[in-house]
Amino acid sequence: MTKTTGQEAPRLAADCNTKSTSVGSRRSDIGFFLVTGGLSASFVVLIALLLLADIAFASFGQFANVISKPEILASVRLTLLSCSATTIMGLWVAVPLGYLLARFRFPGRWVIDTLVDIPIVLPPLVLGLSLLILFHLPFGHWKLEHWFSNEAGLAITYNWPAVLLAQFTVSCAFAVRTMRVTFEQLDPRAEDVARTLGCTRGQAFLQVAMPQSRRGMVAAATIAWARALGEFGPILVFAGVTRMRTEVLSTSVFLELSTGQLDAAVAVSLLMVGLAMVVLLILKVFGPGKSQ
Amino acid sequence: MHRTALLLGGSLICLAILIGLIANHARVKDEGGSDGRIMIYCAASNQAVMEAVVADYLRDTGRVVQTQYGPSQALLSQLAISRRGELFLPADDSYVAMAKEKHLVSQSFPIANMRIVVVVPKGNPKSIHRFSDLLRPDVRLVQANPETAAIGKLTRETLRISGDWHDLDQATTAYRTTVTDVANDVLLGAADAGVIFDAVLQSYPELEAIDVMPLQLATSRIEVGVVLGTSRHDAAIAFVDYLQAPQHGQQTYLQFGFQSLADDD
Repeated sequence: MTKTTGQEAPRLAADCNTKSTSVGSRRSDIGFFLVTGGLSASFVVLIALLLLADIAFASFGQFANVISKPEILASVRLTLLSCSATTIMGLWVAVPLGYLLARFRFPGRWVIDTLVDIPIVLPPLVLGLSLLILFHLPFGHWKLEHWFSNEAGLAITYNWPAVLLAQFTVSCAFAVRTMRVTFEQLDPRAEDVARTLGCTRGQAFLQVAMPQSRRGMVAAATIAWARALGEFGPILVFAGVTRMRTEVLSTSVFLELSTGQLDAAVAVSLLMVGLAMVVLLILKVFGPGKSQ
Repeated sequence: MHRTALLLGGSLICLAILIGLIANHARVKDEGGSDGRIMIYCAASNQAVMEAVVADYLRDTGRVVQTQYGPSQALLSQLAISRRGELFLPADDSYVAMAKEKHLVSQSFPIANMRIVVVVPKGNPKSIHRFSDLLRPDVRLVQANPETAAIGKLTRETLRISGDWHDLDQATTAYRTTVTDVANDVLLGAADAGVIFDAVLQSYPELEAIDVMPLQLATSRIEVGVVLGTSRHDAAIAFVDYLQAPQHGQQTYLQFGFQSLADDD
């Protein structure tokens, strides 16, 4: 919401006074809450109904059976580890990139700004395909995948690094967007003052900007973790869905669905919802600036 | 500065620990099987049976088989881009022929057969008995996409020969990516009838198959192709032998409702 300027305020006050009495005002308040509440409820109720439908579809016995399967336990483990790792990797990139985009005007800035958003707008399967092509595109006799597997001893495609890379590509883009908005909302004067007091630009960033952006970092971590959890398309294409190896919960749902185990797929989906709620709750409780 | 440095250092240590745990997670799963580990591109219609065969193979030989599931055409595209993996098992041998034409596959071996059936909820509530019933306006019919899935392609080819394709195409409510998506739609009640392979029905006890002419004449032959130039050729052939062995792969394929090689001719 924009602030009311000095010129607008008297006009606004006059407008409001002429159009509403105190009783009329209360009535219009009820109308306001009915409209906003109704619109808000349409979305909240839809999500609640989706969850209720899932719960009604999967029996408790089935849920217990599914989550005790070794494949699903391995999938939960890899999901928690990979989502957490990609969140940290994402923050390491998102904080400096978001800061640069928010604070500085430099040649080619708009190109970088656009490129950063591409993983957000690109269809997930295309992103997976692009990763696959990147690692297997021959440059003469040289291929990125061969270099990693021969020189670094680490096969990427259809292995765990592909899971991390696929999750990182998407979740980092969301984290960058969040951090950029965070730094844009922070007043740069505090950093300028720090620099007049003898801080270098790096010190101003580390000692002033970063501590001030902690709430944004928690928000970025939350959204990055959640995006990594739900990532499916790029993992399917680039990492494959090998049970107990590259299987994460989103691909577990696909595997169960593909073998006709609909109740198992729903049970895994509910597990994902539960995990996401627990992690988001932890971040809200322990993050700076606790929200209600 | 102290807190920021602590945060930066702590996050790096956490990241190192997490990556170490992920690498260890993959290493533990590889134990005893990394030498002969192969990767197979497998059609979604064969996913349930392949899961069982791969588990048996690991138990019997200690060797790991990585699997990549999806629609046959999508798998062929993935193979063409990555040129990784050892085996390619689409839902129909025409895709193996295409892979051979593109010099992606060197040799192929027959595994089993599947037949096309129309699937409906148990009890056949919409009384679908013949091809003309599928064209009724009150019947919501779903099919697999002929451009991506073997069954869609085979259905189209079969009905083009009999001259019925146009009518079925017009009567189709939606095209789905894989044959299992079609079966799931019928199971959930999003469709009244679907065209699937008989072997897929094994995973859906709540559904029943209806033989409908001329679709019932369409049979898909499943072949597995060995990826050209794979460095694990011997390991790949060992798994093919296991798939073809009557006491191993063939028995499992039979259990999952496929027609075995012995039924040929």
